[in-house]
Amino acid sequence: MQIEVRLYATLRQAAPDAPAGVLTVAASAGATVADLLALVNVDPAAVRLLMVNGIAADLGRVLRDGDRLGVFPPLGGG
Amino acid sequence: MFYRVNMATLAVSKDDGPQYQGLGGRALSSRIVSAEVDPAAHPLGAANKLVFVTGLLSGTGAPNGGRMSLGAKSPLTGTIKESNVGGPMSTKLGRLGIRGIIVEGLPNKDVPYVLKVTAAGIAIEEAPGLKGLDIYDTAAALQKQYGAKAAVGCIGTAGENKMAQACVGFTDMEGAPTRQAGRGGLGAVMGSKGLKAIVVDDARGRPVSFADEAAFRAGAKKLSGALLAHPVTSQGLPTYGTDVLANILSEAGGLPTRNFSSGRFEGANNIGGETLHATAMERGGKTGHGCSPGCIIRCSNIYKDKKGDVLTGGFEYESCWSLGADLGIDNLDDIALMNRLCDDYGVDTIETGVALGVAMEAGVAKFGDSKAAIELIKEIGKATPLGRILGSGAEVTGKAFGITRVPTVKGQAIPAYDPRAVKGVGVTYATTPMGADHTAGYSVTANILSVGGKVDPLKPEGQVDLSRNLQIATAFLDSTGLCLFVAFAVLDIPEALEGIIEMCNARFGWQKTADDYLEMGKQVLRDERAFNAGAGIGQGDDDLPEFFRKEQLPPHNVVFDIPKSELDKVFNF
Repeated sequence: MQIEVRLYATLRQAAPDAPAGVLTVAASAGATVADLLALVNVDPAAVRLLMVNGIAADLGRVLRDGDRLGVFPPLGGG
Repeated sequence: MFYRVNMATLAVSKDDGPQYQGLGGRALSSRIVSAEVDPAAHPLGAANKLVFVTGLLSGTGAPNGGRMSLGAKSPLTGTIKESNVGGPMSTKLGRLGIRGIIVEGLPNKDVPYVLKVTAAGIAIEEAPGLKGLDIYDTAAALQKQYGAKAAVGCIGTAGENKMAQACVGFTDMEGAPTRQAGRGGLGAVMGSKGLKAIVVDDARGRPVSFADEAAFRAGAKKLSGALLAHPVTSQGLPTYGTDVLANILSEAGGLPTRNFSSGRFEGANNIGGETLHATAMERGGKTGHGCSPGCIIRCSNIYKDKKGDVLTGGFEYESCWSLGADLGIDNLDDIALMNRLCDDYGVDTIETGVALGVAMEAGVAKFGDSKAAIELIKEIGKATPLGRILGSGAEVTGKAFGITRVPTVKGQAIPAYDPRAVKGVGVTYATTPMGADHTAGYSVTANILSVGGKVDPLKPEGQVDLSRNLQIATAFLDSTGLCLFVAFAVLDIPEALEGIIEMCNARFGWQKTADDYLEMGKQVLRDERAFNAGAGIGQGDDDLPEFFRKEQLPPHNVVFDIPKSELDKVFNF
């Protein structure tokens, strides 16, 4: 299946050639968020926020073909 | 020391303000306004007062202790208003021993006045040469006259023209007027009083005294340690600034786009903090810029144009959103120019962007047309009839053009988080005495950022309690003179709040507990709500505009579904 991974802020260093931190990643069926992070070489310890299709998710979330995975380090503003 | 400045008689008096002891910042400004201003007063009339006050910790060197509060009855909302600003002025006032400056009455003469504040006191000076100048030229002229080190707060032509959303611009650490007391039209109140500027020179000012200096230092160390340990305040904000939120909110489906018709903007990355940071670095600009003395977080920035000339500074998420996503615009250079124009004319970027979004909905210009947006902002500078409509804010713009999707509460534009997809901050918008204001109870922390716990942003459960607790804590933090961003550390690291309490106690010789300080926050909200009730703005006004409950917001297709009866439980204390 294909997952659209969107890396933000410092996590884009894991994929410096991906325009705007967006990659399409092929994963096997049943892959979790943690599996996807391993595929794109992002350390889960550096991640604070995970969103699947815009909704908060955790590392164990099982992904489906076409999902959009947003990955952020700790961030804030106001 | 408190100073009273009467613009009718041009008299200045001073006293110790015994009735205002134990208060600072928002607690002080809101107490003065609620005690001394008739809630029925016209905001631009003789009975309104404009107050400039320092916080409990101003001038002490407390970490991130550089904030100042302005207060008055707001011409935009008709409510009481506290507008909070950075820059060095509050530190200088603190070192001069000044707790508050209360500006009263209306002038008899049509000439701009400047308040010159020094160790010798306050002088009112006529400044006919400043008439009609915008903020950058005004600040430069005053620095030439009074010295580059003086802190300047001034209005532009929007304030002189008494536009209801005019702001007051303040100089930053380098002397550029990139900081604003932005919200609620206090620049118009300043203009009504003929006051063009306040200039503070703290030469011969004295260090602030402490009841227990060693205990203060220990408390300061706890807070600075927490700010340096928390990843948001030590890494995210210094690197990317507040605008790092653009991509987060767009991903979460809560970035208001094209006048609040969608929660996700396809151009979010082009206007977000990652792009802003990369562009600033490429052009020799700066991120990690501190706006006030003692700032550890350093979330501000300096943004240069393609030629390498400084275009704007203090370029925040709210402005990148209001002048960007809300207008369907993703050209960051054009947004930066709009930010500069707003800062120069002296209007609030949030209110201006949302007013433009409403105008675009009406067909005044096309969404996405940044050049047309720039020209519309220039209308404000020229004070044309269209410019005056936009300068009166989003609600007036909606009425002028017959638009129903007008995102305001109590007359003030809703900021950069759609309340349908970030429901906790929706509760704050609906209920804060300030009119729609994200800073009054920033539920985005637990809703979106995983700071201070987690509360599902899309569900109604837990949002009222979240907003209430944050509104109370914020009312206290806004009274200390600390930057609100210390809250990121406070919410996750216990030593941060301990340090704040220890600093306040050690400054004044108090033995107050966390509960005592939260009671101070509650009392601020009671004072403000009592004033608003007197002005005819009560619980019935604590709600969001109808469309948020009826129109579904993509991509999550959600509405705001917290019942009004639940909103009425926010102030149950």
